[in-house]
This record gives sequence, structure tokens and C-alpha cells, in this order.
Amino acid sequence: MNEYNPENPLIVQGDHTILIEVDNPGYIEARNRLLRFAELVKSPEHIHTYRLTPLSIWNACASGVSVEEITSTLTDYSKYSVPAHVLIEVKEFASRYGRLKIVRQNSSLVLVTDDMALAKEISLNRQVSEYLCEHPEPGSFFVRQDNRGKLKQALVKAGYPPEDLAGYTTGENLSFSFRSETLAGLPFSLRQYQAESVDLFHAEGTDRGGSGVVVLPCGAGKTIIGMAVMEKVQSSTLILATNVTAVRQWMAELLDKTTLTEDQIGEYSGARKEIRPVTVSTYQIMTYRKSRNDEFKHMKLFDERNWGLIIYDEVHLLPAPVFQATAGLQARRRLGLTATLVREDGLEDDVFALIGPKKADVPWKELEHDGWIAKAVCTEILVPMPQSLRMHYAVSNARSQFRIASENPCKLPVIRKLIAQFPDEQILVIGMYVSQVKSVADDLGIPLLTGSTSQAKRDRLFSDFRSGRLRVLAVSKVANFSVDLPDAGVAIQISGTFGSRQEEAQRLGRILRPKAGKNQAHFFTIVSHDTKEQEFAMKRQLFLCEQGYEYTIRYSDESI
Amino acid sequence: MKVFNCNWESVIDLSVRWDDVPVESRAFYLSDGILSATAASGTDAALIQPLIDGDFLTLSPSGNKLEMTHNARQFHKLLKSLGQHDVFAPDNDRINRQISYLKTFYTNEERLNLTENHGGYRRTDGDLLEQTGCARWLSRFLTANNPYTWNVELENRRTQPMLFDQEPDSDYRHMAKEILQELIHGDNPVTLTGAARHRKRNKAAKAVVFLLENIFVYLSTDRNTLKPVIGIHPFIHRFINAGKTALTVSDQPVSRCPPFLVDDLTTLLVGMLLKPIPVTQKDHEPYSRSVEEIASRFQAFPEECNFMHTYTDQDRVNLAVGAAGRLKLASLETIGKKTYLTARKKSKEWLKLPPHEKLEEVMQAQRNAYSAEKCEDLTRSGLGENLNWTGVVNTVRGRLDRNRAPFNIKGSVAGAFRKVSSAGGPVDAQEFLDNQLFVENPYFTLFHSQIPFTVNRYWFEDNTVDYREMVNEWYRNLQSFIINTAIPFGMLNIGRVEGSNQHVIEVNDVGHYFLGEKNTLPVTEDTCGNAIIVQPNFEIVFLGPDPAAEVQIGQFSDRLGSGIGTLFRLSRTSILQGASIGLDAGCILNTLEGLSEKPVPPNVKEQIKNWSAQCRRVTITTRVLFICPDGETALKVKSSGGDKVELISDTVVAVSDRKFAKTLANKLEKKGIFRNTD
Repeated sequence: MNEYNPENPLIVQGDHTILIEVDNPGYIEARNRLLRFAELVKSPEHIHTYRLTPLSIWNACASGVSVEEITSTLTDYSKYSVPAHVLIEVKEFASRYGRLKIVRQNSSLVLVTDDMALAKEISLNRQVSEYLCEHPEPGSFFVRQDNRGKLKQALVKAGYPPEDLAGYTTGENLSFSFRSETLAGLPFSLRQYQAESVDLFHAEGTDRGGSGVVVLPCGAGKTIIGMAVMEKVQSSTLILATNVTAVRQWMAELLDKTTLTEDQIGEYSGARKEIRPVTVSTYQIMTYRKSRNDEFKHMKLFDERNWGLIIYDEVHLLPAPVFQATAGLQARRRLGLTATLVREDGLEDDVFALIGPKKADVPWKELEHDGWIAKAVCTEILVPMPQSLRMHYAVSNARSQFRIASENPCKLPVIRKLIAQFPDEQILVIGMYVSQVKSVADDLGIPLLTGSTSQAKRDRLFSDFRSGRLRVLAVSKVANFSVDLPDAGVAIQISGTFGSRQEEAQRLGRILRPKAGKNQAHFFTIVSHDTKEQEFAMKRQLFLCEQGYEYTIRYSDESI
Repeated sequence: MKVFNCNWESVIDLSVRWDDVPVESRAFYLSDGILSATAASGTDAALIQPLIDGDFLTLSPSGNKLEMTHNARQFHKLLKSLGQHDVFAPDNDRINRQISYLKTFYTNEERLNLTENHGGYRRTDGDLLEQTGCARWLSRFLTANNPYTWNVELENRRTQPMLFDQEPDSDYRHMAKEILQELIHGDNPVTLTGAARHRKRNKAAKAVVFLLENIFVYLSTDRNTLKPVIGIHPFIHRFINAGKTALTVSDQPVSRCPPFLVDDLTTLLVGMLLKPIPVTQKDHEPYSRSVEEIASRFQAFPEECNFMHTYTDQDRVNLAVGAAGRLKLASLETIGKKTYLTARKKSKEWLKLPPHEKLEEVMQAQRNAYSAEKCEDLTRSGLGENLNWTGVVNTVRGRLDRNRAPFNIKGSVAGAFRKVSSAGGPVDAQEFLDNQLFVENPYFTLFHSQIPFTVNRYWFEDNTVDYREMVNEWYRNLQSFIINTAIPFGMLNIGRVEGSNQHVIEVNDVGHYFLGEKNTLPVTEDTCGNAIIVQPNFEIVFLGPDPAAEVQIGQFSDRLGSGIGTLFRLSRTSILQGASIGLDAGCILNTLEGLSEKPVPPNVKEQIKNWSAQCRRVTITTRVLFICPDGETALKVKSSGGDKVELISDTVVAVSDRKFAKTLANKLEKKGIFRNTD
């Protein structure tokens, strides 16, 4: 039915998904253009899938991509004629961005538009109009300062994302710079993609920059980017992280790589309540309250200082109450850092409205190609169930079946074999069931880290692991969630549920830090063959394949 | 007056001046020679003249004698729509003589046929009287606005003389000319009162009578209002509009209609091959939920073809099912108590054809029917000069198809579209349709040809040769061709006139082929062959359409889409489904490797093998078990049963044959082994 250009790499479908052929000579060029306005949905080996959404188009517009560029990319690179309604809808989505602007007039916030019909429309929209106040000029509305974020949220939901040009408060001045060498004496500088991401975010300090999200794969150095933005802004900063260990990692990095001193960096957590020019806290403490009816008493941290910058680490995990508080922080520069904009709760629109549009998105394949992250090979090793367990397994209920399969004793020889196979690598053995992991740790004579391990012992084990004094470490899944997994070259998962996509990606990200030599990381999953465990392993397989990881299946009696 | 052989305008002028024309000159207009009264010896010219004037008689080609005209024979038909009426003229001697004279021109068969046409009883000479005199009293219609008034008028009329040859009043002839011109250039047909308009009723009545008598117009009854109407005969319209056949070429841009019927048929067959479609018992139509499911896999129309959105899902499915039936690619099959539409084996071969060959096959099934060579000649000469009227009727009936579609309609449709084809550019679709209604309408030839009235009745639901019925029927034929054939086959390029709902159409190369103007169908570029990729995430992506591959892969994978894109996903369920129809891992992998452009990812291969390996086959049989208390008894049972029993455990003996089991049980009783009654 359509014209056909076989040399082009794209297929644009009527449901706004775009398939791109990886092996096509035009792939890289097309992909680089596509990334600017489409979201990557999945990237298995040969055909990657992207999707056009209003948000992806708005993000593109916010970063200066024109609608002509978008439509010409689609038409120039498509194998078939692009469905006309897709082009129309792209233009429609794009046309909605920036028709409304939030500007500062004297000291007041004003929402302005040249489109009188649009002005009328939004004034009649109940969700929007409650944040608007009358203004003498047609097409303009006064906005209260504390409604700036809520107005943006409402306008995004109404389909008219505004361009926020109202600027930011300066915040307290904080002068510091990067070190040329880390405290350990290693040379340090920003990588090119990190510098580019920072420049895109900062926009030379103009009002067009200063709020938004940087998307980078795990292990690519988001912390460095956060610090680099701080260095640009030169203002007091509040950093929100996912957990205490992440907080301490931030603090350690700041001390290691910048001229900031210990007295300038504070930890605000359950254990400490330090509010300093740079304060690092957790989402958990911010959303703490004694009971449902109590207020979030630590939320006032947002107002404790005149913050010039707020950094939301792993912004895809931002809890809803923090969103609400962020709505009132629109006058401050805001940086979100994440490996994926996809949220389990679907609040991407709020990220766009309250944190800001996507400013940079570096494809991880590019980073892998350039050696900034390791290439990961995922291998599933199938082990048979011993006959003695087969009958027991067959007559058990589903939950028990999973556990029986997971704790299959036939896995132990495979673990040994794998450990022996990588004599020079740091290896993590990860399991869901503490009893199983403990048994394995005992058999192998390796240390074990669980949720009940004290912080001090945890820090010591991680330190030994990082330094190489400890080569193999067993960790339970619970411990794995709550601590920062140190970098390893090999991860062996001996049991585990699928969990959320972000957690899986994060766990995998821990072995992606660049390595010397081949720069390759290995992720092994040992699964009992022909059992319930294998069904769950299938989901992992799908997820990892769609992330673009190479995935193979082996049997325990084969060479691995 | 041979009105149909004359320039129409001059005919009208002549009719106005008729009174001023000497008799001898009138004869001149009638024939080249002098009026001959040879055939009417003894009958004076004064009697004959009105019959000539009224076109009941004419000179024969030889010029030596008078003949009854075609219209005279048709005249009673023209007035048939008025229904039965009683007309009595107190003084009808002269008219009777005229009628008697006229009757001499009828052959015996014609008289018999007239009798037959009147329901089998012989009517009196008064029939002819009423028919020939009808025009006169029809003037009463001008004052009758409804049938009730008409009936009253009829009563009144009985008391008045039948004035057939009333002295002409030149005013009414002028008026007749005006009325005729209004009918030609304006609305047609119109009510009698509408024809009269602002004119004096009596004079207008005379004018209309004149027109009727001279067969310039016909008289009919509006079916909805029951009002009498007069209209221009269709052949008059053709005569008048002969110069209006040229179509105006438009410069409106057009875009090609995709031949969606081929794609829809492909999708339908692919679906049917995987799963037959249940249909209703009564009409053998797919259920609405099946229609939805099938239509969900049809490709959307290109955005530029906005007119195509009038095709509903049902329309598209119906067209595809119809095509499947015509090509004998699908058939009805009863499975259990239900009826299904199933794809025949030959459809698999059809699916493998390249797109242009598929289109060719689909078109061929219809193309022949529209071929001009199939034109039926149902004129008198075409049917046979020697046939009597009954023979004509029977012959025509025999040639009608079972749908009672009139003769040559498809050929006429094709002929009409050749005008679009030869226009040299896009033409306004509505202009084309309007032109065809009057100029090329083949139904008018029915009216004009010497087909008995009964044959006309056979074709139309109502027993009237209604002008507007013919117009509407032809309109429907043309429209149906556009909607059900031309557009679905991709024969037209269509554009929309800016700012309106009007469309322009142009016959493209596919259409030229269909109409027989080209010998070969243009070959469309094949979109890539083996552009199928199996992904590591178990999805199967089609970079180009490949319906044959869809059928193969659909047997063991879950469908996600159709046409192009991510069409399938392999899952445990789908692999087990494949296993259920006998496809093992080897089969499935061979199929995938054969179709896929890239090697099948290793994890996919392993997983397929794993899933397939989980399949087991069990044999289910029914057996009679002899459950024995101990091993010794079991052995006794075994030895009694011989080869027909099987010891399946130490104490259990199985027998497959129920009958034998009974025999064995009886045998064992004799040995003291009794069956347990618990």
C-alpha cells in the first residue's frame, strides 16, 4: 500500500511506535536524531522500539528541537510512508509547547500567551483557572509564587506545557571547584559526555536552563554530573538520594573530587541532622511522619537554607510527597538524575512539570562503545533438579515449588565452577533466601552480608572488596536492595524474584563500571531447569534482552 | 410527424405553426411524397388526418402506404399508469370510425397480445377509444389535485363530449412550446399543476393534452403523492443532451486509492487459515465480534484518502468475504452444529503470489462480467425479427440472471467509465454521475426498445416503467461500481475539491486494465521478501508484509499485529499451541530459520527447545480392571485371559475389550473367582 525505501532504517507505525533496524547502515544517524524526540522503549538486538509521546515531543521542544526536524527525521529515514495522522499529531503536540510562558514582570509571576483563544480556554479550565489571577492585559494572568509548580502541573495535564522563563533565585553563594587529582592522587576530569550534559542543563546560566533531568545509564557517572552542575551554579545545594549509603557516597565523592571541605558538607538522615551549604539527605527522611495524619516534619529542610540548587538523585524514585513539596520550589534550580524516565507510578508528567524537561540523554550503547561502561553478557545456567527433590517439588504448592527450585543443591558445583573460571575478577554471589546464601557462603568459605549485618561490618567488607583484599562476597537480596553494591566484574545470582525494572537495571548497573582489559562484565543466573524458577527467569530474560544485553542460555554440564 | 427523426426545436416550432401549414404541406412533413390513402380506401382524409397528426399513422418507407407507428402501439402503455377508467362519449361515431380504421393496422397476433396484456379477456373496441381519447380527458388532471377530485371529474366528464379533433387554438400551442421548453431545461418530471404554473388553467390543459397527444411528454403518477406528473421521455433527454456528454477535466490534485481489497482479503485468509470464522446459520455472515476482530487487523487507509472512511468495518469484511467466495478461496464448512467460513487449501498458494498477481486474480473474477463483449442485445433485431411478442418475452426472461439484473448493465457501467478514462484528467464525480443518468442510461433503451411492457414489469418491483426508477436504478449501478469495485480494486485516483465535499475521480492504470484498455496490469514493487527478524526478546518483527509467512508463524506464536512491525511473540503458551498441532521444536526452529533474515538468537532457540521438551503425549484409553486380592489370583486371571489381558501390576489385570471382559468374568466364575458386588 505504501512507497518502500528498503535502505532506510525506520518503520513508523500508526500507534506512534517507531521500529529502528540496528543493522541498517543508517542506524546510528537515525538513532541520534530519533533520541532527541522519542523515548526508547526497548532495545533487543536487531530492532529497537521507540515511542513518540506528547512528553517526548515537549522535551524535544524544550531542548530546541523544531517540529520540522522531527517530521523530517521521520520521513527521511522511514522505510514506508509515515502515517499522515502521526505527522499531524507530532505537529499538534509540538505546537502546544511554549504557547504559554511564565515570565517575571517586576517581581510578579505572569502567565502570558499571544493566543487569545487559548487564554480563554485555560481560563475556563477548572484545574488551571484556580491558579490564575486577573491581569489587566489580555492574554495574561498573574500567578502566585507558591502556585508556580502547581500551575505547571495543571497546564501539562491540560496538554499545554508552559515554558518557564521566570528565572530562579540565586541562593547562597558557595565557591568551590573540581580537583585535578582526587584525594587518592588519581587524575580527574569530566568525560566529554558529562561535560556536554552539564552544559545542556546549565545553558550558560540563562533562564532557559537550570531545571531538568539528565538521563544516563547506571555506572556512567551521574554523581559526577551532579557535582559538575553544582560547580557551575556555585550555590548552596540540597541533594536528595535514595538511601543512607548513597548519601555517604555523595559526600565521599564531593570530598574526593572537589575543593569542598567536610564542614561544608552535611548529612541529614536518621542518624544525623546536619544542615550545611551542601546537605545530602534521603527521600526516606523527607517523607517520614509518625502517623498518617501527621505532617512530614523534615520537609521543612527545603526551606532551611536559601538553596540555589536541588539535586534529585534517581529521580524516577521520587516519592509523591516530595513532588508536592517540589511544587513549591520552582524558584530554585532543580536537577534530576536517573537512568530511566520511566516511572512505575506513571508520574512522568510531574517530573516534566516540576523538575523540568529532559536535558540530556546519552545512549548507553554509545558509552559502551567508547568504553565508559563495560559490556555485559548475561548468561542463564540451567541445572537439573535432583531426582530426590522431584517428587517433593511436584506435590508442593506454587510458592514452595519456587523455593525448592531456588534452593536446589545442584547449584553449588556451578557456583564453584564459575568462581574458578574468573580467578582475576571481583565476584558477587547474590541470593534471595538468606539460608541458602548462608549455606553457600559457608560451603565456599566466603564472607556473607545480609540485612542484619551491621553498618560497620558492611563498610569494612565493602572496603576490602573494593581494595581487592576480598575477591568473592556473598550478599542476600535484602541487603542488596538497601546498600550500595560495590563494583564487580562478575555477579552470580543464585536465586531471586524479578522485582521492579529499575532495581534489576540498578543491580546490573553495578557491574557495568568500566574495567581494565576486555572491559566486559558477566551476569550469571543459575536456574533450576524445568521448574517455576525458570518461568520467573524468563521475565528477567525478556527484560535484559529489551535493555539490549546479550543473553545466552547454557546447561550446567556444558562449558560456560 | 416523425418527431424522433427531426430537430427538436424545429419540431416544436412546427407544432406551434401547425394550423398555418396547409394540408398538402403537412403531408410533406410526413413524407416525401403525397399522402396516399391506398391502404385506407374508402376512408376520407379528414378522418385519417388526426391520426396522422397524432402520430398514430405514418407513411411506410416505400412511401406508398400508411403504417401504424410504434407510438400508436405503445400508446396504451403510456397511459397504463392511470389505471382502469371508464370513459364514455355520447357521440363517438367519428372516433369509432377512426378507431376501426386504426385497428386495421394491427396484426392478428398483436390483437391477441393486446388481449393477453389486458389480463386475458378481450376488451371492446371502446378500449382503443379510451386509449386514443385519453389525452383529451386528461386535461381534467390539471384541476384535480388528488385522486378523489379526479374521480369526481371523471363523473363530470361523462356528460361532456369527447372532443378529439377540436379546432386548435394557436395560443395553447405556443403555451405547449413553453411548457415543453421548461421541462427540457428545468425540473422534470413535474406535476400537472406545476406545468401549468401561472398560466390559465384551461389553456394549459389544452397545451398539455397537445404534448401528450404528440408523445412529446409522457404521463405518470407520482407514487408518493399520487399526483399526476408529466415528463420528458428519456430518449428525448438523450436527444437533447447529446452534446452534454463531454466531462469537464479538473486540475484538482488526486491521490491513488490503494487496492485495499487485496490486502483485506489477504488478512482475512491468513486469519481463516489459523482459525475458521464462525458465521450465522441463517445468512452465513460473520458474527459482529468476528467482524471486529478481523477488521482490527486490517490496515488503516492512508490519511489522504479521507473519503474511504465511509467504509465501515462491516463493509470491508463483506467485500473481502465476497472476494474470497468469488475466487473460491474460502468455503462454508459445518463443524459440529456450527457453520464456519474456512480457507481452502488453494488460498495458501494465493497468499504466496506477489501483490500484482493477487490483484489480477481478484479482478479477473469480475472483469469478464464487465466486458463489452458480454453485451446482450435485447432489441427486436437482436432477439430475432420473426419472434412474436410472446417469444420476445420468453427469450428475454431466459437471459436474465438470477438476480434479475437487467441486461448489459455491467457492460454499460464499464462503458460509462470509459468516458472517465478517456477524459484526460480527473473529472467531477457528481458531474459524471449526473451526465450518465440521462445520456447513457441503458434502462432507457428498455423503454425505447420493442420490449413488451410485461418484461419491464419483470425487472422492476412496481408495475410501472417509472422514469425516475430507471434514473435511480442506473445511479445505484454506477455508485455501486465505484464503491464496491473501483475503489476497493484501486482503479481510481481520487481527490477532494477544497472547501467542499465533492470529489474528483480519475481512472488510473489499474482501472485501464480493468476496463480492457490495457492488456496487462501494472506490476507494483514488491516490498522486501524475507524481511523477518526474530528478536532475543522473543518478538518477531516483519520489516515488510509477508502473509504466507504470517500464516506459518501464526501457528506457533501469539499475534501482536498485522502487516508490518512487531507481529508476533513466542511464548510458552504459543509453543505448546504449536505442539498441540504436531509442531515440535525442530519444526518450529526450521520454520523460523528459514524465514528469518538474521540467525535465530541462541536464547530463543534454547527456550523453544525447553518449552517443547516440556510437552508430553499421553494415551488415553478405556480399560476394564480386574483388581485382585493377591498376586496368585491375578495370575489366574491372566492365564484365563491369555493374550487379551495385561498384568499391569502384581494384583491388577487390565482388559481393553469390554465384551471380552464380560466373557472372562463369566469364565472366572466357573473357576471360583467371583466379581465383587460392593
